[in-house]
Amino acid sequence: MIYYLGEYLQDLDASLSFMRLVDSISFRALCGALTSLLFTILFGNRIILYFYRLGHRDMPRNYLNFSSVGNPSKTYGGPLLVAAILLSIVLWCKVHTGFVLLCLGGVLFFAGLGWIDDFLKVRHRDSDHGLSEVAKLALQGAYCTVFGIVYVTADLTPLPTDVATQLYVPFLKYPLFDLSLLYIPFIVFTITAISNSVNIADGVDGLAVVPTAFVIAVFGVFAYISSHARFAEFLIFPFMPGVGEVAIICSIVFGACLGFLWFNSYPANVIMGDTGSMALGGLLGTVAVLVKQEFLFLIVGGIFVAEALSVIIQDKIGVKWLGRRFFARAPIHHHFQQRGLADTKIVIRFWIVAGILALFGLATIKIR
Amino acid sequence: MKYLLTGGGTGGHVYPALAIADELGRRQAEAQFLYVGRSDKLESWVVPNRGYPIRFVRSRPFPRSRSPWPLLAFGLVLIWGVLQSSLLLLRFRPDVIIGTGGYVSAPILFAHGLLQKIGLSRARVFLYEPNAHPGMLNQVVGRLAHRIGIAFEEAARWFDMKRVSVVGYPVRREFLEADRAEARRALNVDPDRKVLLVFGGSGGARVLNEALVQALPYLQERGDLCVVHITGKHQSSAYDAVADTRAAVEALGIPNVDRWYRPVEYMDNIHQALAAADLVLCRGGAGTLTELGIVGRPALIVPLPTAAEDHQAANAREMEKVGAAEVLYQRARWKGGQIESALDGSALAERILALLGDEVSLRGMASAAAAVPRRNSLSLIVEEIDQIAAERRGSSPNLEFPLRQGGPPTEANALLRWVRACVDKAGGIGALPERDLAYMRYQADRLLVSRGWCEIPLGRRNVGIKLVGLLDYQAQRDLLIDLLSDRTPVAALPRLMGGDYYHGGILRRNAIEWGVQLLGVADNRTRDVLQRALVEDPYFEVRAAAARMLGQSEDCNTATEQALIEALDDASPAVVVEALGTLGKVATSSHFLSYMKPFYQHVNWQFRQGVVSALAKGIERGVLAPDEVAHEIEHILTSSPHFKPTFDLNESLSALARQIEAEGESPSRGTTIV
Repeated sequence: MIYYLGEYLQDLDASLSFMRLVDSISFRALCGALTSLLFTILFGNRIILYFYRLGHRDMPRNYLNFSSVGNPSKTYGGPLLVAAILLSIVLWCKVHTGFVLLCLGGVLFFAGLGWIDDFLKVRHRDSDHGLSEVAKLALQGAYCTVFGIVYVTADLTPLPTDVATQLYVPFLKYPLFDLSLLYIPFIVFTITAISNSVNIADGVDGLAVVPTAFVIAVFGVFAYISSHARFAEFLIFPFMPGVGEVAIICSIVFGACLGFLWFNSYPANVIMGDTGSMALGGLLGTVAVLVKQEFLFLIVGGIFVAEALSVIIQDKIGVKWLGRRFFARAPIHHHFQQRGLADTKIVIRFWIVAGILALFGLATIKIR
Repeated sequence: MKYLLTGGGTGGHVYPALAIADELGRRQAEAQFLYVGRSDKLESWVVPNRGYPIRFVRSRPFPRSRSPWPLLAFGLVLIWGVLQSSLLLLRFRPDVIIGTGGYVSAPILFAHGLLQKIGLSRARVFLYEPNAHPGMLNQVVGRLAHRIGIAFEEAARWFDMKRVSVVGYPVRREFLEADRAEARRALNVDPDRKVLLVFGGSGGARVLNEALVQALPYLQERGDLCVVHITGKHQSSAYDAVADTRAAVEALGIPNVDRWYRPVEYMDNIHQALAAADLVLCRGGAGTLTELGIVGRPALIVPLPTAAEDHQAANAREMEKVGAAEVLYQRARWKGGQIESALDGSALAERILALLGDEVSLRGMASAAAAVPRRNSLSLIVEEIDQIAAERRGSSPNLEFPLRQGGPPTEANALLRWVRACVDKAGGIGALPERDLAYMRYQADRLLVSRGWCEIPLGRRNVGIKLVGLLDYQAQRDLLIDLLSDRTPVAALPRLMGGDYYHGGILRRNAIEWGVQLLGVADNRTRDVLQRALVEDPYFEVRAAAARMLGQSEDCNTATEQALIEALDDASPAVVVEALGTLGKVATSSHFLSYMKPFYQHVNWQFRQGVVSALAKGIERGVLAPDEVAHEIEHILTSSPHFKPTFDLNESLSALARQIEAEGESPSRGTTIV
């Protein structure tokens, strides 16, 4: 909105020519981040209280008393996070462009799906009565298929058509090969995997937001490089005009994550729930695909990958197939809880690892 | 009128269809029939024997596992079967389709549903459900039917009430007219002899056959017995009902056995055998039980544990409740690394002899049995069929719909919760009625035999193990111990992925945590196996559970202590922590202190905590001298990466909630506050 206003005003009068600032991606990225950060911090308490009164509270699973806290019930605050992101995007982005629309679609769909899940859990007063695994995967798969079709269709995709279906891999300058239509299943897998891994990682206060912020910041840098003709040429990245909007969205999400951490830090009175974690995960996946750095997530999002793998190994391979466990508990953060580490210690160690991985990710800009 | 009959797989589905067809044919001379079934099932030879034309289609049972491949195969076979059936329907053009359940009838009914959609089939559909718990197919196609006849009122819950009517189980006329003296003449049995009819349902029953042969040596004590044994025609590479039974009987070498033991492969006029019998040993299918009731004979029922939704046990319990029969359950038995379900021959013989010796109760059972079934079932069904064929709306059924009784659920984990609730309600296992306890233990046996591990969410054998502990089923202690010490490896691929033995890690852990814990470490064998598990089991949870459980055994020897000390070197922290705690509880002298020294400054605080609690236990038991320990504790590192914050507000709220509860008013918000 502010972008359109600035565009309109700068032509109106010479004295308003400073409004040219809105053309600058870095300016809008900064403002977007500040908006989402301030929005969450200023309105956080009120929104959390609203959802508390609605009764949207977490029902902790009580399998074994491995949590170190007396399990005070926490409010689902996912809508706070989503509202901050949506508001800032609408204020600071060129909403009519394909990149922004695809990101908005991702946030809205995944947030909606997560909200249904949260709503069912709240209604049944039971954390095991949300959407079934199959239903979740089917709905995500359906959305991602539509997204994939838009992505590879020359008339619809916001990306340059010669880039859209190329497969880029970290450490390699040039695309590996052209996947053409196979890019659709690849996208489906990538986005569902990323969104679910963020969902899984969201288990201890502050555990999911900070690594998400790191990952999205790294993707923001990549988006910024790809949007800039000279940087892209110099660093040999695919030049994608318009992808700068994704960089703005990344910084908005970064700000929203920090703002959310304001309340979500240990001991939290609000958790993001499936609404927040799915929305963040869906957006992360969308961004990874839009900036053509899907494989980078394996490095930068190593925390999420480890969390997801621990669940697959423990549940799908271990318990369901072999009839044994590999970890004391899964996902992996519960394993550490079981081994006697305090929640805060686990969370901060995960942040440290996520930070190091983010630095590795940034290093791939030059090491190619 | 053209009638298309379908349903089959087993006698329970085929015989009602035939009985209905007989009755329809008797009433309408011009009626035409066509039976549709599967070429390798019972109907393929029973139906032509009775003079009805039969056509075959492909069909397959719905796979109950979660694996996608059987599901795919099922889908393909179903599509093929539906195509075949569509052609049959278009050629025969029936006026009424009569389905009696069983997956065999699936293709025809689905084909009819499709053809009806496009206006090519005008047939009316009558479904018949013989069991108290409807089969899957009938639940699905219930909505296609114009009328659904059910044998048990309970089945009505699954269908549209307006179209359901309770009709009972149709049996052939011969059963109604069966006479004891005449039947004995026909079978050439001396009127003074006691006749025991052994009859495993339409397909025969291997377990019954084998158990009966084992029981024969005991049964020969009773001189006036005549055993009529219908073995069934089952033939496969693993088992040949006729030949194997004959060989087993010959191997027993009982003199003059053919005078009083008559094996029969199959008996078409089963009503005569029933009428001639004084006691019937049989399975618990709805058909068999109804026939028993019509003829009015006492029975010893051995329900088939693998029946869908365990309906045979439910049927048998109904008969037991009204005093019409006694129930003998199959037991789980360890056999070379696998668990199988079997019936013990001597126990069987004991029950048979006890029953035959008690004339009074036999007579009581017979008259109770005769009171059970509806005798006009066939005419009710035929009237229903006439009504829908004439496209008239029938009088709406006037039924009292029973609410769901507190019967056992079929899903394994729900069953576990149900058993636990029953035990809690009764106030302990001892307070449960003997019949109910036997039934619950049978559930444990039934689940133990299950091959499935993967049935969601935790496997069924697992639940069987838990039930053994929960029901204090001491008779199966040895089975759990065998399972715990079994070393049958799992297949190569799962082994590569980290699997170990056929009875997987969680099963073995539960054999300790539920089985041994609740049954108690009573004997030396249990303790030896626990010790071995602690040292050699490849799965950490088993070792940890074994370490914990050894702390419960009363008298502890040096071997136990040695095993625990060895376990202190274990790679898994969970095992070491448990071993430390147990050492404090069972060690007999203070020399274990030296093995604890390495843990005083261990990086994992849980180890140090284990040491501290072991020391405390040692002092408490008088094994350690306080001043000796006082010197030790100076060296124990006390920092810990673990802390328990307390939320004052939360705790005072909980206290308030407890206070309110204590006052007798349970607060509605109480659970959310705490």
